[in-house]
Amino acid sequence: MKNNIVYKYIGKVLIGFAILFIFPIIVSVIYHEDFIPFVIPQIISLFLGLGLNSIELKEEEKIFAREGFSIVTISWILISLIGALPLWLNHDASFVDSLFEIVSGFTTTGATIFKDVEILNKSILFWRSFSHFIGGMGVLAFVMTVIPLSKNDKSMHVLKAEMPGPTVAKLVPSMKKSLIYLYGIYIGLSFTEFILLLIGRLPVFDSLLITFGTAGTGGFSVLNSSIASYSLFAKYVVALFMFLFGVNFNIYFLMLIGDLKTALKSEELKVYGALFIGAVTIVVLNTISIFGNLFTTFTEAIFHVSSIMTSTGYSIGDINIYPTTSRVVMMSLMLVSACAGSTCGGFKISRLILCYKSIRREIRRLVHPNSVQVITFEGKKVSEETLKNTNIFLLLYALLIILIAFIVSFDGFDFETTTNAVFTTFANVGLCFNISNFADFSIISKLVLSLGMLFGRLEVFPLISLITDLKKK
Amino acid sequence: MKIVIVGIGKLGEHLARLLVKENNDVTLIDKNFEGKEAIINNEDVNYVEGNALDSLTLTEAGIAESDLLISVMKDDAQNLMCSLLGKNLGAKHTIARVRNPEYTNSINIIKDTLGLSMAINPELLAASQIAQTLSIPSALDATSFLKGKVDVVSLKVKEDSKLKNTTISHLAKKIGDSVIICAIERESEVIIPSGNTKIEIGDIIHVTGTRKDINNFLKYTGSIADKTKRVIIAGGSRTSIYLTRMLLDMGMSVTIIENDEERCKEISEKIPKALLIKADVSDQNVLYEEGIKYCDAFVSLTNIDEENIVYSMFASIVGVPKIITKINHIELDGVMQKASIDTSIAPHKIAANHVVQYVRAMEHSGASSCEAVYSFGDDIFEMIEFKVKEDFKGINKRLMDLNFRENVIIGAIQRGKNIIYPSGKDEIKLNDTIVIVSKSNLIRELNDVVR
Repeated sequence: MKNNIVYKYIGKVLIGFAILFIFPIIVSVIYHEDFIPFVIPQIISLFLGLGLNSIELKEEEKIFAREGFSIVTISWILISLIGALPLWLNHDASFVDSLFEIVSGFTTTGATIFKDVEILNKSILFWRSFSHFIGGMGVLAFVMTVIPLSKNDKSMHVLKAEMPGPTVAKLVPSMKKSLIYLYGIYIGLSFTEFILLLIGRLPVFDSLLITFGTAGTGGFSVLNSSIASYSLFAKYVVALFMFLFGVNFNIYFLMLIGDLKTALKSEELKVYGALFIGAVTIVVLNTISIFGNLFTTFTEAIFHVSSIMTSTGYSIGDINIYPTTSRVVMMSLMLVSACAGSTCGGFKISRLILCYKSIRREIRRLVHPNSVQVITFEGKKVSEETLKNTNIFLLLYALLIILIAFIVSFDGFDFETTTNAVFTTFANVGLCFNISNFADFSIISKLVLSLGMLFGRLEVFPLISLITDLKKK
Repeated sequence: MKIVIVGIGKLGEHLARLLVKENNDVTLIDKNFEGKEAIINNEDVNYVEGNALDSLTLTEAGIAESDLLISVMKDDAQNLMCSLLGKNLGAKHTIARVRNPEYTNSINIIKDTLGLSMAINPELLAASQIAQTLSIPSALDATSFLKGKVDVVSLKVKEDSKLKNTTISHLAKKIGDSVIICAIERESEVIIPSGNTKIEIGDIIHVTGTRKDINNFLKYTGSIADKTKRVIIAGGSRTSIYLTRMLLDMGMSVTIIENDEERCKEISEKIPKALLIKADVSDQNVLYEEGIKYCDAFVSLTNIDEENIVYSMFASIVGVPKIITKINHIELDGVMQKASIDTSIAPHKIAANHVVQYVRAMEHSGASSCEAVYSFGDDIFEMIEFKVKEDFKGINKRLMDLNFRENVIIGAIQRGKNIIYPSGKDEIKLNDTIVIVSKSNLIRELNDVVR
């Protein structure tokens, strides 16, 4: 990389990241646990950050799209490597397993390699869930909100590379203010959930960690049984908030400024709602003979559909008893996921709408060869560039899934388990048919799936462009 | 009234003619009167050459004493600017033409801020006229009265019509008094019918009634056509955009054929539901491909009259049941009939009628006031809405006892929420709104209807 500004920027990100270690250290002090595993990575992150930050810029360097991609990708890889250290240093898992676990955390996947999470230190549990909370909005988004940046550093290219969705729109003209609003909404929603869970008589520690998991749509839990052993009230609270965190945050912003009309007009929101209701209906009809009781069926369906659709991955029961139709519906939802501009993974509903509209236009063109149609989304014109980009994204998305599935297939699991493991990691869901944890996968599979999670979270292009960039050299 | 008209284009000229006919003092302003001598020489008007945005020019035209300033220059912004100046220089009322759809969106703010009495958008008016006509496909033309409660539709009496060779009174016995045939056009003449007027083949009859009653009447005459579902519009003009929106709201499907790709994209972005075809309308393959044979209506709205006429002729050859043609400036009597173009629309004429209606209402404010005026059949007859006030001579008298002028009938009476289609025994009461049908320029105020 020629551009020093990339290193300098990454330095700043690492300094910001070092600050975050304070939280698990506090937790380990409270619970009288060993805090050394957190201090070591903190020091590494801080010094590496300071070192990189001290690089002198040769001339007036600027961040363009390519630099944006590089900064985001390298930062995410470094943060995953450093973030994995506490688990490894605490002798909870091998380094590859630790890496898988923390990538799963930061990408808000929630797939775990631990067969038993209940024996882990509280501080380690906290660190896992906390990584969801940070990863949900984006590590760089966090750094850009917290750390004072120079004029050049406030680059939309960085934000674009990290923020999910086909297009990134700022809420207000200033980027920093936009981010503060977004974080305000994020923390506000999280806080509400936390309070509601406390009202539901959950322990403070559990409430906090489940809130982290829901907010980032991650899915790491405190208990092996996920949410199953909590009260019905808590289950509904979690189900509701999983759904809410799957909504585009711009809509909350519109509601906050009182523009309810525009907010409710959102095409994406309507499709999200319709898909949700449709999926719940199908699953209820499909599983009622299994559960017998309509209310239980309904609770299960609502919880699991919203868990899978928003790529969270909490569960309140054994999903392996679900019949094939429900599995197909849920696995399709896994890939599509919820709205752009939320904390969800997956393909995003807005892209699905754009693809659907392009398909419809092409079919119209077959019938009316001379027809001209501009595709609009949320009442605005969508550029041909964005459409092309979305279609290519769909293709890459499918190709990568097949490629990863091919590599994982060597582990010798059956077809459904293999594809499902790939879907659930690539779409950052974490919940999976036939698998309760990823401990039995080979080292290579774990590494490839970790990479898959990063691909999924950063939406393919940043990583691909970095790889092609490196290949040129 | 003293009226100043700024901008002598199609609309300005037409307005000047109509307003002079109504005995107003009209002064024209334009930068250049070259090529516009006809209006100055043939009509009783005054004129000032100069820039209307210059207060000196406006003063010279007598703006200070004027009752009304009408700005119909090419540019919207200039019209608004001129109205603002005129208002401040003493014009009592101002009317400006505003065509830009973006301005139209915020027209209420503009009107309030500039003290504008009326903003006219000829294209929008034309579009709603076309939409209305398409909603009653068997009619040549449709307009509504009394705030939409009463329609007047015109239809041609064809050879197979039940109406041919019947007298009005004979017809009334059969269909009751739910609709009134209020005017008959025969060879560019208008007949305001009495009981023994006979309807002949080739007549264009104008019928007033509620939408439901008119539909029943059309059913009776056997001339009801299927509901319009598929419409093809030739040309992506501003009128096309307004019209497409209205038609889509009425549940029709709309195909617009436009040759400019950028324009197509622009319209597609504004109206995603419309089907935009980038093609030359004069390519018959395209027309066949887009199903001109199966469409219910064809509307030619390009900016060139000659093209519109040719496209409509083609649509007529193919057999499209309903064809509407926009004609901006061609004024050659009889050509339209020869080209078998039944319904033609001239935006500037519709706009001019709108203004004249406003001027008359202004003139009569106080007395039994004129609320609206509609002109028909190239201004040979008109329908006027009047609000009945105390000064009307015929209050509380039966219609048969009133000595009506020739060529005047009452088309409808609105009393409260009810609509009455009057017979000789009905009376006119205070605060009724009545619709008078008469030959043009007979009626200035309500008392003119009686001798």
